[in-house]
Amino acid sequence: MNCDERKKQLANLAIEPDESAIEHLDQCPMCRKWFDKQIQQPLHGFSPSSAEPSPEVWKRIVLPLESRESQPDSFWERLYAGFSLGAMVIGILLLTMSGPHSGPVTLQQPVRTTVLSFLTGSNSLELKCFGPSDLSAVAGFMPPEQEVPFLSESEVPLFDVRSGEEWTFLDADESYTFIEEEQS
Amino acid sequence: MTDEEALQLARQGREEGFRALYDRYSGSLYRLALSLLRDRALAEDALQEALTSGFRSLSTFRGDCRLKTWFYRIVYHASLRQKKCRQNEISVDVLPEEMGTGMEPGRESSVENRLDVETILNRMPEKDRYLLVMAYWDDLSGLEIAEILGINANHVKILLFRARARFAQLWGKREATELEKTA
Repeated sequence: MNCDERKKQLANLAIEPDESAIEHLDQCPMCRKWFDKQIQQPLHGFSPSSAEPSPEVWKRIVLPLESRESQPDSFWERLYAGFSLGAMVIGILLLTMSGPHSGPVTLQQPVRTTVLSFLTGSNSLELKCFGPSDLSAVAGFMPPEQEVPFLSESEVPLFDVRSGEEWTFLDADESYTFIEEEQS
Repeated sequence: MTDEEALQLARQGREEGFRALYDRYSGSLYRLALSLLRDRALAEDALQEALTSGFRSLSTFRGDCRLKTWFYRIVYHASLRQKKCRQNEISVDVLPEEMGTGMEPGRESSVENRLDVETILNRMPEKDRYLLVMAYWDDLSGLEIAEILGINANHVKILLFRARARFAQLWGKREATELEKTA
């Protein structure tokens, strides 16, 4: 359909325009210009209206705005604000007490992770790895032995109560030697 | 007071800011609501609902369109909601005075014209009615109308072209009838 046929089709009010008419206008700058010119002409007989809303409408709009500003916060709003502030303070305290992370990985890290997750409202910070023991750690019931690092840069000598001797874990080289001796 | 100044005051919660915005836009927004709802009380309800929520959300206005267009969009949707809610209650007859035409006093013929415009508008499809109101009473551009209605700007051109043609047809009939009466 060429431009003239398209215009005739659109001028026929008995037929509803379809999507292709809009597509044509999207692609044809000449037709766009022609339509712009047509709709920019003054519409004969279409005198402007002077209808105004009644003065009551302003009062109905402004009163709720004023009452909203002057109204004190409700009990629940204040309770929520207080709770949020308290949670924030506790969170910051827990973060401070857990200290910066360096050296061996201990179960204190999940505690910090939990606090951070709580504060940021996100559960993406490794909460999925938590088991029941971790949950007890989070709650502050972490057994002291769980704080012993599994890997350490320097060996800490352990005291054997029965033999009365101090001993350390073997170095990696030594344990290799030990296994080799066993096999031979 | 400019739009920006009024907006700034209103954002600070100052009544003079709200008042300035209301004085500037309430008339045209009301006429848009009226063209959709054809009932003065419903149009006032829609205007109240729209401006109350609009004034409360002024902080969310980012300035990527004219404030007028932003208010139009809110009123348009508020009017559609009103219409949906009270579809069965809307009276079809509109008092011609409601959509009066701002004529000069003493000019009876222009008063008649205005009343005729209202009558003709009321006989037109809803979409044609509010398109003509937005384009020729409130001087919104095709782009702004497209933004308010959420449609393609070229689609607006086609709709407006056809709405004009429909109005001209009815107006022509009215003029022909007038001629017959006088003859």
